[in-house]
Amino acid sequence: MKAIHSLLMAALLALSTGVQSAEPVSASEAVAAMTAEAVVAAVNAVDQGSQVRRDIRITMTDRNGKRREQSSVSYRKQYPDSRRTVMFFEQPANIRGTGFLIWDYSEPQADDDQWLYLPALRKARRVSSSDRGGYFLGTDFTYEDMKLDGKLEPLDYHFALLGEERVDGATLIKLDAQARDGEVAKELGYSRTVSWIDPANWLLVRAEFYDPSGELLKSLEATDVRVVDGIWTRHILTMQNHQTGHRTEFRFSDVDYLSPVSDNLFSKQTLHRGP
Amino acid sequence: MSNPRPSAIENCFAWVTTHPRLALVLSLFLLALPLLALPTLQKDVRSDAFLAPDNPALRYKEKIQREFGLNDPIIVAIEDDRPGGVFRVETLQLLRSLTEQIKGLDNINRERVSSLSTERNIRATADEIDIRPFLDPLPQSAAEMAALRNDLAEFPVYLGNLVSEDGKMALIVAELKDESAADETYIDLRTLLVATTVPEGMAIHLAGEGAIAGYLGRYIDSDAMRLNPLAGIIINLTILLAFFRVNPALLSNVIMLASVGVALGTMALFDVAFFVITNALPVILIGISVADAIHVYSEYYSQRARHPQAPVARVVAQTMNRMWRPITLTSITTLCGFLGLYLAAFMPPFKYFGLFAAIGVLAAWIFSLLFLPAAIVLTAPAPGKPFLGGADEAGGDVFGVLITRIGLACLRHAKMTVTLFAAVALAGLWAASQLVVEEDRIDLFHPSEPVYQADKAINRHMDGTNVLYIVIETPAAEGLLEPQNLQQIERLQQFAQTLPNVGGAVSIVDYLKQMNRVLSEQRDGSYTLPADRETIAQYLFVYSALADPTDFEEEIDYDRQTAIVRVNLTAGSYLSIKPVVQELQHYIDANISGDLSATLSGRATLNYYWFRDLGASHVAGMLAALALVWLVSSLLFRSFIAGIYTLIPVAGAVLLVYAAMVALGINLGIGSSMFAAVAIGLGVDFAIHTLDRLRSLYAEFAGDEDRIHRALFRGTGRALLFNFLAIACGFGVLISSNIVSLNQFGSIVVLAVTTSFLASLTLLPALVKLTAPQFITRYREDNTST
Repeated sequence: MKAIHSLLMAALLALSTGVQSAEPVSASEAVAAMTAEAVVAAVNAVDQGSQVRRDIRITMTDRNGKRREQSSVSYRKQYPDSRRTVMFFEQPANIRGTGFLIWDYSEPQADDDQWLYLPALRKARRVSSSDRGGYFLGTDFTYEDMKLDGKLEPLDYHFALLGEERVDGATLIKLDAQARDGEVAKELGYSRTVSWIDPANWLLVRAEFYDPSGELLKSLEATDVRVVDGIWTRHILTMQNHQTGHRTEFRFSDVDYLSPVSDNLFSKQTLHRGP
Repeated sequence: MSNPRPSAIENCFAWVTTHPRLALVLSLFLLALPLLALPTLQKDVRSDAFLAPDNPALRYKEKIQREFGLNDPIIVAIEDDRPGGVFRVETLQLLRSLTEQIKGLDNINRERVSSLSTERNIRATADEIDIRPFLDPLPQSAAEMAALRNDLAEFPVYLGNLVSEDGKMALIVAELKDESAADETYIDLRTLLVATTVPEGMAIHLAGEGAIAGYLGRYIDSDAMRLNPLAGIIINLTILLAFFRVNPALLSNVIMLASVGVALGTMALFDVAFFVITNALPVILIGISVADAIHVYSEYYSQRARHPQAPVARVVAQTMNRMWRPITLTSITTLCGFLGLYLAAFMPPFKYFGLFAAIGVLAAWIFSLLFLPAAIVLTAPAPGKPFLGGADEAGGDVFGVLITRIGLACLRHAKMTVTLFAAVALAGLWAASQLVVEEDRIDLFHPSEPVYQADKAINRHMDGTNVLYIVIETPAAEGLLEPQNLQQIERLQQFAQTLPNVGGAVSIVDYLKQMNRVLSEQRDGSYTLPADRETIAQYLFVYSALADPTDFEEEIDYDRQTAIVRVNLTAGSYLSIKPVVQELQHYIDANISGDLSATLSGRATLNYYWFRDLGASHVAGMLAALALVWLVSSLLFRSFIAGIYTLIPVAGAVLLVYAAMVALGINLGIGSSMFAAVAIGLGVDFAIHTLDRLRSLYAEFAGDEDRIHRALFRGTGRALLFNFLAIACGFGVLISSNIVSLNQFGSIVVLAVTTSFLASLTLLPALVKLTAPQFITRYREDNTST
């Protein structure tokens, strides 16, 4: 199935990017002939499902190797104007019942809406939107990293192909992305990213992030990649901050793209009640 | 009667003077290895370098620094005396732009740069939590500026730390990635600030321990570049004045080079760092190393003046046969002084100073006995003006005459001379009890230095640049979420804030109180801790969730098991820190209970410990030097009484220095504390030369005091004068050092050496005259000199 998917995707992209040949092309030849923009388009075309329910275990490790674990159940649903995500924390016990809701609007200029519910205060409050480069829930992922979820933003970067690289037995496409200007770099916290993309499924499986002064800031590894309900899914995301020594691992389990996800979950009132 | 069989030593000098080229090569070979290692010498100007690496307090501090990611920061302070202070658009823009530029510097940890432009405010209404940067957007109107001031007043964590309560100063606090590259970062920052346009009424300062360490590296280099050539020039002039010949100056320079090169090269070979006080080492060795050469040349020129036709090699051999003993003994006693420092000092820079100064003295001794006779044979210098005119006239120049007159005058009034010195000694004894231990690291710098002024300016406006940490620990993870534990921390912090010189204190308690105030919508605005564990945990979750992952890193650890109360002090001197450390320790012993433990740490605490040790280190070093010098002198003269006589001038010198220190208000600090051991080792040389010569002269002139004293002052007295001038000039150069501690050290040693010199040539002969000790009067030389 993986091979068929890959072949279809490559053939499709070869056509869409205007590669013409009298002879039939193989998948690897098609990939080799792709432009950076075509690769970005392929990555962004990967199906993420219109809705998903999953358990998330977040493990944060500080410079000294001390760990903090949080577990939550999360729901995400795509709406015409926005993508809505809600997280209900279950562990540790003293934050059980804490909820976090995000409405992430498709319109690039619109600020996201976020609400936080704290059981101790028995009240959900709107949280003023954090900047795109701000850290998401104290992890090493930024809001922008979470929002993109492995996609690439052509409005922020100039892309260029850096060729192919063999990593753990797979041939990956290496893609360079330079922030369009200093303002973007400052806003995102990245002046440059380098991504490794698996042409077998067009998932981003590895990335490096460079800070505005050009130094390596973080690196991302996506592992345990497998198909769930027909959708390629990255189950473990590990982000290592090389400057602070802090590390965050997102581990997804019980991923379900098929069971219905109620619209009611994405409201302030439900934050209070729980799922 | 046949000549007595030559001794082994005489055979050695016979070989050296007959194989001068070989001796020269051999001595230069000894110098080669240390000189090759010299380029690898590393500087260590950290305050922590004053504590042994295995010191438990230092290890604890390093552990805490590692766990909490605390590094000594560089602080950039913007001081604005114009109306509105730093709350002006132009000033806040500058703060923001400088913060960004500093973040971009090579060795700056951009994640650990904080200023008003990096920090966020927490506000909340009934429906909203708002956490956003204080300066985003930058306030423009008067109303927006007033709102910012109000926000800061309501979030007291940053007041006194990032912006002063009077609104006149704002700080950018930046941590370094690599503290050992602090000096390069200091230069980068200095360059950045120099290029910044500063309007009238505004000043930008650069301070903090990171800046001090950075600046000190450069400061030491420029000080050394000035002091060492100056010492060399002065000593060369002294030698020219003594001998009216260039040859002694030239050959003495080789001995200086050998002494300094071997000392520093051996430091490099053994991976011992160059500390702040090591800057005095080359200058001192330059002075000390030529002393032996001065005595050798004095004797050589006298001999050549007496026997102009004798072969040079024989004159040199005879000179060395006569001089090896006093110069060996004085080198040993100088070694003893420095070894006393090495054995007794608690702090590595002092220990190593003692050890490597001793090695430098040893190198000078070897070169004086090996290189110098060989080089004199090869160059065969003729005696200069002071030595011409026959045996009776040798030393008859103005210097010899002056010394003779002073010496004889004191001898005529021997009782008065002894009484005068006794009075000085008594005054010194009283003064010793009045001495105060006091030291401040910033006082290493001259008050005109920008880093000194920056430190003073920041301490005037802010909570203080001197940081003390109280480390709070609980046995179990999440123990600090217990309200009663946080309440204990709150009370401890409140107590700390009542202590003198404490500008402010910050801990996780402040953040929780702030969160409680804004999130629980307390109408009265009360600033209190949450009452239950869940609320505390959720507040910490909210803050860490909405801020950076490392935001709380400096206040509480990941397990919520260890927390830090940061106490800022506006003064860093020992006497300023002492009451704070002692009172806090009393409070902790009496009040911290249950699962909680509290330990004092941080730079201020560590400085307290090593400053406190300065007094004990001083006394131990002095006693060890006295004991070693007494032992060596006793063995030399084969009389314990003689050992005591040799100590009298140096003991008098040390006591006079105490009296002078009290009179001039000089405290016992880094520089002054090591003077005694050094002054004893150096000063005792004069006493040994005097007593050794007196002993020979009593034997030679069969107790004819007038002839004995005239010969003593013209010969030994004159040589000792130039020996003294060389050492006094070497240490005197330190008086011009920009490092205040070295400046004090130089002044005090000059005073001590002057006193030893004068006492050796006045008090000692007077005492010998009055008491007629048997080790002098009954001495018979085995070999009469030539």
